[in-house]
Amino acid sequence: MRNRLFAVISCLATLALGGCSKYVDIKTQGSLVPGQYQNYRYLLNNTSSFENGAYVGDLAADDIQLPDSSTQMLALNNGGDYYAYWLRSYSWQPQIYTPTGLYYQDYNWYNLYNSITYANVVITEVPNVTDATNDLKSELIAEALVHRADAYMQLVNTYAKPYIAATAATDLGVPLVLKETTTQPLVRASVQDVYNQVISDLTTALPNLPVTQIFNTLPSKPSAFGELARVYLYMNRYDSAAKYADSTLYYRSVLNDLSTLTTISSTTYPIRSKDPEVLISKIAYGGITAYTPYAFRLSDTLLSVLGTKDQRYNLFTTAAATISSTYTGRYFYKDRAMGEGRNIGPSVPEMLLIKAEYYARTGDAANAMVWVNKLRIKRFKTADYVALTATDANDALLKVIQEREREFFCRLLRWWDMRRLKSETRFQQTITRKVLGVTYTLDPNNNRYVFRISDYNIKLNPEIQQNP
Amino acid sequence: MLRLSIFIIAVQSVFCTTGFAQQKTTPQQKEAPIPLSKAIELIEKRFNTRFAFEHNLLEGKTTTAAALEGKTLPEILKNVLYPNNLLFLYVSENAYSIVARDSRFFQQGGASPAAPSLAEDVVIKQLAATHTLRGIVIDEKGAAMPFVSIWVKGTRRGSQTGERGDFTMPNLTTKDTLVFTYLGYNTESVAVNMGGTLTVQLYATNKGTLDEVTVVSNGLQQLPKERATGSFATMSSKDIAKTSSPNIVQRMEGQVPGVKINVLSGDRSFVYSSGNQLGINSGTHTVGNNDYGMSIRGTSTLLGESFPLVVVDGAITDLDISAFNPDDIENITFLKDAAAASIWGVRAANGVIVITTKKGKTSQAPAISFSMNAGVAAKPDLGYLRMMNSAQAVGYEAELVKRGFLTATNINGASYSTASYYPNFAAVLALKLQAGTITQAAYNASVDSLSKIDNTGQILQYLLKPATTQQYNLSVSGGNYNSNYYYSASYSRETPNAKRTIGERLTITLNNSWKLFKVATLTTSLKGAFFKYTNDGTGVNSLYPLTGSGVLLPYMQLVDNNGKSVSYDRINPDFTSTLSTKAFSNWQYNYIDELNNRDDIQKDNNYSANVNLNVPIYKGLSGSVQYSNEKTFSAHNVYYNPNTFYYRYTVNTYTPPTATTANGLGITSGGILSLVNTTVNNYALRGQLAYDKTIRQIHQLNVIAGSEIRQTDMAQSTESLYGYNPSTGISVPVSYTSSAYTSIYGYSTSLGGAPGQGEKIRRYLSYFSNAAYTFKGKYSLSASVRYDDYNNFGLDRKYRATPLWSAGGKWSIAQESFMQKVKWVNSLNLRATYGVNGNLSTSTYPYTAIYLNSTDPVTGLPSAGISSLANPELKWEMTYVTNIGLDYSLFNNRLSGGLDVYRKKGKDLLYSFPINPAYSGSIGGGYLTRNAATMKGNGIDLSINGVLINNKSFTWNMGLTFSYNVNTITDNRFDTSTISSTYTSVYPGSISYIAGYSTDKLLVFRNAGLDANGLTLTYDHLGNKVSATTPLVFSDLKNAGHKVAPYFGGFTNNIRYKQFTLYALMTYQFGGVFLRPSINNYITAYYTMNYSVSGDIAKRWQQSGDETKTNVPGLNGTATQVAYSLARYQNADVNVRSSDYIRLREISLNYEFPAMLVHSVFAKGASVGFSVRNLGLLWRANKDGYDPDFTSYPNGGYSLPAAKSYNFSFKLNF
Repeated sequence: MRNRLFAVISCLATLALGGCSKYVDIKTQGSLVPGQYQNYRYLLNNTSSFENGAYVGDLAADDIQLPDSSTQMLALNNGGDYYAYWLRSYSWQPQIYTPTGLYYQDYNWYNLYNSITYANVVITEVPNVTDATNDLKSELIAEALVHRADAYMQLVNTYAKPYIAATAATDLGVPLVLKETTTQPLVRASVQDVYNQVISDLTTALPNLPVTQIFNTLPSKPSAFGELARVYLYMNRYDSAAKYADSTLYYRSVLNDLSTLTTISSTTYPIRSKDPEVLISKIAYGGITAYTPYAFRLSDTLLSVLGTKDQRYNLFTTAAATISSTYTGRYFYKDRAMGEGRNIGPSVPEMLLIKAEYYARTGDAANAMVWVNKLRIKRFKTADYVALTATDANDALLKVIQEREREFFCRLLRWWDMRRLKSETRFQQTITRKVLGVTYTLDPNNNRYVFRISDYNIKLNPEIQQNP
Repeated sequence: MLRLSIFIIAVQSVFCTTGFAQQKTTPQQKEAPIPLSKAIELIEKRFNTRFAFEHNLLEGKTTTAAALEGKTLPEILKNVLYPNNLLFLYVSENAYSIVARDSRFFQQGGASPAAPSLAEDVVIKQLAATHTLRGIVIDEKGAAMPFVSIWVKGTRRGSQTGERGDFTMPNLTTKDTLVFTYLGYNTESVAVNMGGTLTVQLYATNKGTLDEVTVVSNGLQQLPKERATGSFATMSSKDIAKTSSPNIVQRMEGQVPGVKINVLSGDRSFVYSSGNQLGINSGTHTVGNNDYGMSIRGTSTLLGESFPLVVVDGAITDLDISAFNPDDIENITFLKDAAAASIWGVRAANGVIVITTKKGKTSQAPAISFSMNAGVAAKPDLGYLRMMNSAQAVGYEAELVKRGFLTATNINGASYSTASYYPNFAAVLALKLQAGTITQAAYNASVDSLSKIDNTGQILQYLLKPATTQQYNLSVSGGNYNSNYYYSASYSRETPNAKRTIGERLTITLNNSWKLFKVATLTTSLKGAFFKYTNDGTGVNSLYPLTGSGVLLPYMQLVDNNGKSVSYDRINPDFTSTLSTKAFSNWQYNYIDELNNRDDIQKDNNYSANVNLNVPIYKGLSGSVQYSNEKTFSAHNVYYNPNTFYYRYTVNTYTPPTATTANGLGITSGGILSLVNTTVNNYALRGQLAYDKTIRQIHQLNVIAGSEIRQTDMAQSTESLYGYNPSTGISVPVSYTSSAYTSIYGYSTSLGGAPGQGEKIRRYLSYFSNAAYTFKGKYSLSASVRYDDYNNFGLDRKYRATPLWSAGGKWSIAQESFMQKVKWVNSLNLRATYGVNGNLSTSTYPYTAIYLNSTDPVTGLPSAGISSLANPELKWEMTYVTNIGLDYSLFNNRLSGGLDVYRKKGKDLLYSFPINPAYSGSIGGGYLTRNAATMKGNGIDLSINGVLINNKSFTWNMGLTFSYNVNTITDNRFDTSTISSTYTSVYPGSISYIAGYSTDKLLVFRNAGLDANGLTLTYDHLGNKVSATTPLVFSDLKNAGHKVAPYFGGFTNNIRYKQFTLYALMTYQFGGVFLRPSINNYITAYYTMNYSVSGDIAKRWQQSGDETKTNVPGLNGTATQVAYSLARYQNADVNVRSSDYIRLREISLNYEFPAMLVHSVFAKGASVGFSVRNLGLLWRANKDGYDPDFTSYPNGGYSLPAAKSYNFSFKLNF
C-alpha cells in the first residue's frame, strides 16, 4: 500500500514538474491577445496613434505674425510655462522647453516617435502572427512603413538641417529606431541615412499597399507615392519628385472645387478622412488652433501674396473678431470651420505644384503655369479667376513657390520651404520679429532653421548630439 | 524531484549504517562505557520503541554494552537507566518516557497520541492498597485535559489522565498527596482524604512562559521554534482571543514587533469605508487598504505589491483577510526575515502571514463551544473636524463675491454651462445684492437667519447613529485515532455610524483529518465566507467631498423648522425652470430623500477548499500533495430608482434643453441598474517531500522540497441597464454608439455604462526546498531556495531563472555545558540569517499590452492602443535581508522575549522612470516601468514578556513590543534636478522619491508669515522672504521628517485574580510627523464650486493689519496668487505636527465561572466579559488635539476617530 501511495505521489510530483516550462507560457489578457492579426489591424486603425505630427514649424514660419505687445502676445506671455513654447518658437529661441518646467516634453518629438513606436510594434510583431495570410500580414507592415516614413520625414525636417546632397552624409539627422526596443543608443543618424530609410520604407511598402482605402487615415498606394514625391522634392531631386507626383496623380487627382462655396463646414466640405485631396491624413498635434490665445494670426507678407479674391482667403481665414474682440488682423480658420485638425500630409494640390516646380526648374515656364492653373481654377470664384502666366522660368518658379504659400499656409510646408529655399539666393530673406520690445531676426544662415532637441530628451539620452 | 528523494534516502542509509556498525561489540568491549544516548538509540532500534525525554537528560551519562544484554525491554531499561538515577514510564505501546528520579517533569513530546482510553498505571513499586480515587482534570475553561501527569507525592508512583481527562489511582492512603503536572500549567497538589471522585483544575501559566507556541510554521513545514533560525513571530489563539473584532487584522495591532497596523476607520471592521469592491486591473491589493495600514518591517517596494502575503493552511490566499473568522484561527506566524520568508520566493519581500486554522484533537470527545459578542459605540464627534460655523461660512462667501471670485456668471441661468456654476445660498444672496436684485435689508435678514443655524445636530440625528456589532460563533470539534474534525459557523453583523450601512458575514469552516491505511493522513479544509453589504448610508465623507461641488455648508439644514426635508439647487433654478417638465426631472438634491432612496447591495460568496494527502514513505521521509482552490462570486448591484439624484441628473444631462416631450434616453419608467459581477477562481497544486529525522539524538534534520503550480483567474463584468424596472425586469434599449445622444449642453455626447468584461489569468510555477539541521540541540543551520516562474516575467528565460535563497544559523547558548550553572538563564539563542526575498507587480507585462478602444473617433473603425510597451527584461524585485536575532528566557521563564536587528537592501525595484519618447512615444506617458530602483532599510524588532506574579490565584503578565523601521532611496536616478518646478513651488507633497530621502518624507515650505496683502511669504534657501508666486527650487524646501512613525509598538497587561482577568492594550508611535489639515482650497474661479469647510477659513487674513495676527492667507489677490498662497501655507512647516502618541486601545474584564458551578449545568466552562475599545489617546505630542491617525482634511477624510465602544461577550463550552 505504501508503495502504491508512493507511486501516486511520484506521479503527481512528476506531473507538477513535467511540462512546467509550458505551464507559465500563457499570456494574461490585456484586452487583446498579442499574436493575432486583429490586434495589429486594430492598432493601425488607431488614428490618433499615427496621425499626430509636428506643430512647431508653423510658429517659426513667416506666414504668421503678431503685432508686438498685442493682447494675444500678452496673453501668451502671461500664460507662463503653459504657452511658453509658442512665443519661444515664434521668436526662434534655442530652448523651447525648460527641462524642469511643467512643459518639459517636446510634443513634436513625442508624437512623431509615437507613430514610429506603433509602426515598429506592427513591423516587429506582425511576422509572428499565425492566423492570417502572408498578403494580409504584408499589407499591415506596408501601412506601418508608410506611417514610419512620414514620421521620419517630419522629424528630419524639424531637428536636422535641410537636405543638401553635398553635406547630407555628415549632417546630423535624428536617431533611427527601427524595431521595438527600450535600450538602443539614440545616436543620431545622418540626414542622408534618414532620407534613405524613408525612401526605403516607402518603396518596400508600395507593392503591398492597397490602391484605395476607405479613409485617408489608412495608407494606400497613392499615400506612398505622394510621400515619395514630397521626399524627393525636399532632396531637391525634382525629376524624381515629378515622376512620383505623376504616379500619385494616376491614382488620385480629384480637387475640391472651392469656386462655388461661400463658407465651409463639415457638411459643405469633405472632412479630412474623406477629403479626395488628402493622400494620407496627418495633422499637426494639438487640434484646432483658432482659439485664444494661440490662434494663427496671418502675416502681412502672406496676406499680400494671398489677396482677398482667393477663395482660400475667404474660406480658410477669418477676421480677428471671430477669435476675440480684442484681436486684430486676419486668422487661419480652416481647422475651426471644419471642427478638426489641419492636414499636413501630402495632398493632390501638392502633387500638382511639385509638377509645376519641376517644369519651372527645368525651364518650362508654360508647363509650369499649366500645372499651377490646374489648381487655381478650383480656388477662385469663376468671376475672379485669372490664369497665371510667367514671363520666364525664373518668374514661373517664383509663382509656383507663391502658390505653395497660398495653398499650404499654416500647414507645415511653408516652414519646410523656407528651409529648403534659403540656400537659393533668389529666395533668401531675413525675417525680423518683435516680441515685447525685443527684436529677433532669422537670417538665411541662422542655426534656428533647425530646432534643438529638447534638453529633457538629451538628459535622458546624453548620446544624442545637440544642434548648435 | 525523484532524484532528490533518492539523494535523501541515500543520505539516510549512510547514517543508518553507522548506527548498526556500533552494535557489533566484542566481549572485551562489553564493560567499556558507552553514552547513554547511544544506548537508548540502540534499544529503540531493537525493540522498535520510542523514548521521550527532556533535552540533555542523557547528557554525560553512560552505560555498558553488557547492560544492554537482556531479553525483555523492561529488563534492559532497568539495567541501563536505574544506575543513572533515571526512571522509565510507560506511555503507550512502544512508547516510554524517561525521567530523572527526582524530577516531576513529564515530557509530552514524542508520546504517541494513540494512547489507550484509560491510562495504565506505571507501577514501579506497589504499595499496600487502601482505596481507589477516580477523577477528572480540567483546564481553566473547563475542557478535559488528557495526559496530565499524576504523581503520588514522595513516591515513584505515577499515572496519566486519559483522553477525556479522567484518571484512576488505586491503592491510595489518606496520607498520600496527589501532584498533577502538565507542561505549561501550574502544578496542583491535592491531599487524598478518601476514595471517590475528584475534579482538579489546572491553570495555564501565561504568555511568555511555556504555553507560547513552540512550533513555528512557514506555511509549508512545521519547525520547533528552538530550531528555527529565522525571524518568526507568533500569535496564539489565546492572543487572538484577547480582542473581539471580527476582522483578524485589528486583533494583530500592537501584538507583534515589526508588524505595523494602523486602524484607520473606527466604527467598522469588515465593512470597509473605502468599499469592498474587488478591482480587476489593479496590480496590488485592492480591498481594505484604506481602512487599515498594514506592513511588516516597512516598505520594500515602490510600485509592486506592498501587502504581506497571506497563507492559510499552507495555501496562498487572495481573499481579503476579513474572510477569515478569527475564532477559527489556531495561530498566526509572521515571517519577517529572509530565512523565514524566502521559501515563498517572489512573494516574500513584504513579509508573510501564515494562518493555521483550528483542528480537532485526536483524542477528544466532541467539544462544543459557543460564544457571542455584542458591542455599541457612540456617534462620532463631528467637532473633531474643526469646521467653520455658519456665520463664518456666510462671511467667506460674501468675501468671495466681494473679491470677484464669484461673479454674475454664477447666477446666470441662460445656459446649462453657466447654470451649473451655481454657488451655495449665501453666495447667491451676495451676488444678488451686488446685482441690485435684492436690498441690503433683505440680504441682512437672510444672512442673519442663516448665521444662526448649526446643522451638525441634524447630521447626527438624520444621517448617523451609534455603531453596533454582533458576533455569534459556534464550533464543534473532536476526534479519535482515525479521524478528527473541527467544524464552526459564525455570523457577524456590524452597522457603522452611517445609517443604512450594514455588513453581514457568515463563515463556515469544516476541517477534517483522516488516517488512511493507518499511515497516510488526509486533511481537508472547506471554508465559506458569505458577505452581504448594504451601502446605503450617507457617510460624513460624502457630505464634504474633497473635489467637486455638493459640499454641505454648516447653514444648510437637512430638515427645515417644520420637519420637512430640504431640497437644494445644484443647478441654477433660473435655468431649470425654463425646461419642459415633461422631458426633465427635478434637478434638486435632497439629503434625506437620497438616504431613503439608495439601494446598493453587494453580495460576495467566497469558497475555499484545501485537500492535503500526506504519506510516510520511509523512516522520516514523507510525501504530500496539496490541492487548494478559492472561488469568489461577487455581485454588486446598485439600483438608482427614478427619485434618486443620480438617475435624475443622468437622464436630464442626456436630454437636449429643447426637449419638450420626453427625456433623451427615452426612459418612461424604471431607474438605472448598475451591475458589477466578479468571479475569482484560483487554484494551486503542490507536491512536496519532507524528511524529518533525529539521528542518534545528535543530528536533527528537517528537509522539505517540492514544487507548485498556481493559477489566478479573475473576471469582472460591468453593465448598466437603463429604464430598468425591478418588478418586471425589463429595461430600455440604449445606444452606446459614439455621439448617439444630444446633451443638456446641446452637443452630441456618448452614453457611458456599456457592458464590459475583463479576465486576467496569471500562472506561477515554483520549486522550493528548505533544510534545517541541528547539531546536539545547540547549533542549527538552515538554508532555503526557491525558484519562481511567472508568466508575466521576462520573455528571455535568463530573467526568470534567478533563484531566491536564504541561509541562517543559530546557537542555543543555554544548552552549552558552561551555561548549565547559570540557573537563571532558561534559554538563550543567537540567530543570524541572510537571504533574498522577491516581489512582483501584477500590472506589468513583458510583452506589448494591447487594449481595445470601442471605436476610432475619426473613422468609427474598431481600434486598439498599446498600454505598455514590451519590456522583455522585466524580472522580479529583490530584497536582500540580513537579520541578527537574540531570543531569551530568564528567571524561570519569568522574563522572555527577543531582539532582532535587520537590514534590507532592495534591488531591481520596479519604478516608472522617464523614457525618451524615441523608444516609447506616448505609451506610458513618457515613462517606462523598469527594474531599476534601489533602496535600503533597517530596523529593530523587540519584544519583552514578563511574568510579574504567578501563583494559583493571581497572575500578572506584561508584554511590550517595540519596532523601529526606516528606509532610504539609494538610487541616484531619483535626483532633484528633474523635479518639476510646479512641485517644488506649489505641491511639494507630490514630489516622488529622491535619492537619500526616505519613501515617507514630508517636504514642506518654510513659512515666513503673510505680506501686507495677506498672501503667504516663504523663506527660500538663502533665508529671503519670497512671494507666493515666486518659483522655488528643491533646496528651498524643508524635510520635516517621516510621515510613517519609525518607532511603534504595543504594551499589554494581563492580570488574573482568581476568576477575573483584566486585559489592557496600549499602542504607541514616536518619531513621525503629520501635516495639520487646513483649508483644502479657496474658490478662486467661478467654475470651481468646491467649498472647503475648514475652521481655518475663519482665521484667514481679511484686512490690512491681520498679517500680524494670523498666518492663514486671505483672498486678496489674483486667482493664481490666492491659490499659490494657500498652497504655500497648507504645505508649510507651521502646519507640521509630531504624530507621537500613546493610545489606550482596549480594556477588557473577563469572568470565568468556577468549574464546579459550570459542571453542575453540564458545561465544561463558561465566561462573561466586558470590554471598552477605543478609549482614546492617553498622551499626544500635538497640542491641537489631533489623533495623528485621523488627520485628513475635513473635506474627504477617510473617517473620524472612533468613538468609545462597549462590548459584552459570553462564552460557553460543552
